[in-house]
Amino acid sequence: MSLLKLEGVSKCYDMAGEVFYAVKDVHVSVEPGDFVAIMGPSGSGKSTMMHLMGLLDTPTTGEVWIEDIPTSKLLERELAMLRNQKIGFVFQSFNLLPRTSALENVALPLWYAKVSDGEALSRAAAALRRVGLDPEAKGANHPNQLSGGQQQRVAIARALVTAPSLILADEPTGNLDSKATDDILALFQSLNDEGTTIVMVTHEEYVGKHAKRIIRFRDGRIESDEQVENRLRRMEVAQ
Amino acid sequence: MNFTKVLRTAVKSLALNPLRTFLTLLGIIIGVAAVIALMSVGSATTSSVTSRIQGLGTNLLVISPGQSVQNGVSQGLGTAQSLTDKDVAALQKLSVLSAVAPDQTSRAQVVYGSTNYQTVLEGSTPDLFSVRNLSLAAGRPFNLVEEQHAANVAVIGSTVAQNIFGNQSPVGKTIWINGLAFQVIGELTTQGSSGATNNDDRIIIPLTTLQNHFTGSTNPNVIYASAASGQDMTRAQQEVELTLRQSHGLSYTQSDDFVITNQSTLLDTLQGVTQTLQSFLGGIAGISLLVGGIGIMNIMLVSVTERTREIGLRKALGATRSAVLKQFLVESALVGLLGGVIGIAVGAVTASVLGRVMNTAVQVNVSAVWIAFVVSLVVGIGFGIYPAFRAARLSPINALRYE
Repeated sequence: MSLLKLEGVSKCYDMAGEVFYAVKDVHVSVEPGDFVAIMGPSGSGKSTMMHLMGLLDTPTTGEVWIEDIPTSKLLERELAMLRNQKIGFVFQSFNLLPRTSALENVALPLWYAKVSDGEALSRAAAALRRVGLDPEAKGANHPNQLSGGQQQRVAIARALVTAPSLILADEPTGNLDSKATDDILALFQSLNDEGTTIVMVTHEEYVGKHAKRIIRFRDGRIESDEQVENRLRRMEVAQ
Repeated sequence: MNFTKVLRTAVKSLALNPLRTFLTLLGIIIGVAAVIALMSVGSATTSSVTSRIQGLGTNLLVISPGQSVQNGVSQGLGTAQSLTDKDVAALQKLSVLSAVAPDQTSRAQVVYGSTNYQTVLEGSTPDLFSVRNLSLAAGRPFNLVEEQHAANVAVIGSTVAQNIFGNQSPVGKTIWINGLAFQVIGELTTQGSSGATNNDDRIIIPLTTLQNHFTGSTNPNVIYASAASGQDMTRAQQEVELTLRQSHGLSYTQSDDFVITNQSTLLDTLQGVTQTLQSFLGGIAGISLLVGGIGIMNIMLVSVTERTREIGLRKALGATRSAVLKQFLVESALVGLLGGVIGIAVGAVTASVLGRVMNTAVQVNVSAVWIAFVVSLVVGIGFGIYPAFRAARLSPINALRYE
């Protein structure tokens, strides 16, 4: 069973009378344990792909399957529940809530899942520990008191906290310096080693080379889909 | 998300822009404070005037002349000279009335020592004191003998006593009214004012004395009458009307050239006036609440636009439409509620200050407090629905892409 499967998925926009395909007739599936990098120049449709995979956007035609569940007929409420339980998002600009502690930012998806307060906070603390942040030392900090790398770690903890089938990361290192980039990539690799499935959108070859599989996009179509030889491996930086 | 979480989020986002939140609150605060202050002062005024009218005398009927019409223009109530001493004599024969007091008024210049004072001079029969429920703080009222002999005796109101005699006792003193010497035999207890008239600023002398020396007319300006019993007010009023129509020789096609009022009609009129006034003021306060509500809506719309990315993020993390709707509704309801509570406090303080200025005992109207509380909550939610709905309907992808 694939974790995620796209069948004949297209997304088109009506631009001043002209139909523009952001994604055209894409077939792809993501298996458990995959670490996929979706790559391509800007405007190639990789961001749209990410939104379609994350159930943030609905395809014009085709079907997106999440663990054998076809999603095109689902209600908004059911989609929200699937996003909450099956998918963890990591964004380029972190998207943490301002003036909210790191711990509460991580616990947010659990609150939407109606998990009790005490359990939500203890699971959030465990997730913070997993990404290498001490909940005692950093848990109460607000995002503006954390470095970029630390903020992205909080965001990854937030993506992990519901134990999703899949982590979707959109340019996760786009706003980070090279040291923090390596840290985050090492974290992704170690999470993947533990069995977490990751799909990462990036336009940087260096970042892509850390994945096991690279899917290249051009003009809304898959140009190539291949396993990575000579994969870059980094030890996770000491916590 | 449980309710405390939603509430905390709302408080946090309101605290993020303290000045903006305060200005939004201000619209509701002003509206609610206006409602509370106006309703409290209004009901206090009504009850104080009501108790004064009831204190004017039980079973009181007031008979005034009708309007005189000159060249087709009505000159207003009491301008006709249609009441005569013949009417008084006819009324005194009615068994449904226990007492009848014809009354004339004039203005007078009072002199005592070096003090000069302008006041109202009222002439009536001794029955006036019982009919109008007048009690005396000192001395005695004049009697029938003094009235028949047009004696120069005077009962003075407390304002007059204060102005002429200061702290001295007025009883037994001699004052000069328009050059005539009068002996002060009594002082009225303080009554307070009813409307524009100060009931304590007058001197009461026998009717005959007033007619002989001041007005030269035997037509009373007004006749006060007491019904024999409170149950017979309607019958008494009907008999008085019949008697006066006979006495004035009116045919059945002619309408009354006099007006009879009693306490209940006075109260009815007063209540009608205060109700109109209160609904008018309430309307104004309602408009300011409406404006406050529009202010809430405006700020909530701005807030939704500003937080578009946050809404997108929350949706990506699993917030349903109803969760987002709830979050924004709670926020606007909180603004309404907070504005309402502060407004109630401000209104209560304003009402008590106004009460002190107007010298009436103002009690904050409890039902007004509840109404204001509920209305401000309803305004907060009502005007928050559209912005909250807009937030809930945002598609997560457009919200996340929003710059």
